[in-house]
Amino acid sequence: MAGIRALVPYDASPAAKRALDVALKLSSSSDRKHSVVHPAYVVEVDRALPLDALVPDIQARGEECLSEAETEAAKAKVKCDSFLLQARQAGPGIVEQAAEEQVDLVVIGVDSATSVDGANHARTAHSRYSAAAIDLGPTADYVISHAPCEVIVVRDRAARPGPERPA
Amino acid sequence: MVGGEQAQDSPSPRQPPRDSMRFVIMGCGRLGSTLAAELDAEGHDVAVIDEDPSAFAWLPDAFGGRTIVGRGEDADVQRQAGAPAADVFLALANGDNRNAMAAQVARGISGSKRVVARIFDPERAEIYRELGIRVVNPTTALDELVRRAAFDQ
Repeated sequence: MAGIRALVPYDASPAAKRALDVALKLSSSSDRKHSVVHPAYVVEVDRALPLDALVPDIQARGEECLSEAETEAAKAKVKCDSFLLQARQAGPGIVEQAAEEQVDLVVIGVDSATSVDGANHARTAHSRYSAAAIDLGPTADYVISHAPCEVIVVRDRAARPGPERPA
Repeated sequence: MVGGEQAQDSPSPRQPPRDSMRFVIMGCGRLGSTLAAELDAEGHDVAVIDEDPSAFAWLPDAFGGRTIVGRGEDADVQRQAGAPAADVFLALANGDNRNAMAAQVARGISGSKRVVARIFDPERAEIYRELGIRVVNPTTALDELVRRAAFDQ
């Protein structure tokens, strides 16, 4: 089986940690020697600033998160190449990086606070899923509809099959 | 309706459905096309999605369901196939990750009632199962059948 290249948006949140864990497991189940996990921290830069503006505190936080992800990858013996990205919005930043790196997969964590049935999260204009059964939040929503590869969504809470809709 | 005597005596594993159900099948390969043809013949409402239009040649001439050209993990394509109203969505394409994504989209975005994904790799099957995806793993299933054939009288 060929190795996989997986991009994991990573901000050290419980959802991101779980997504990284899933990506590492998927990499381990493939050809581990040829698999790479790419944790990516996205610094969202305000439109009033240039895209490459220095935002030291946030960039330092990003480096810290990525360092943590690299440690986890090393423990799992999976090759790791992380990215500190700057973008206006996280979704487009992730999609652009996924295209540039030609990854096979994006594994994205979704906080349970935004991924509840009944969708109480305000949807952005780019959302194609206004009638979605589960609200994913704007970043995952954007990534699923625009990524050039498969996207796996991981929730931060213990996984369990959702209740099936009544017939 | 199923005839009572026939249900008890018939050696055929297939029976007409008690209630017609709506199926959306992603992937019109050997398995997808076979299932689609069977379910259609049994009177169910069937829609098949495949990004390769030539894949629909696997379907028999008598197939009365719908065929949709597109990527089955795309919510718009799923919607076009009727996934939001589907009783069952089957992700039977060749890629494990693709089937997993299609299953998540069908379940979480399209809102199909029941979603099943074929995942070839047993390890990945377990990972995806832990994510809440209903998974069928051909290796495990075949392993069981082969063992039964090998050991049972």
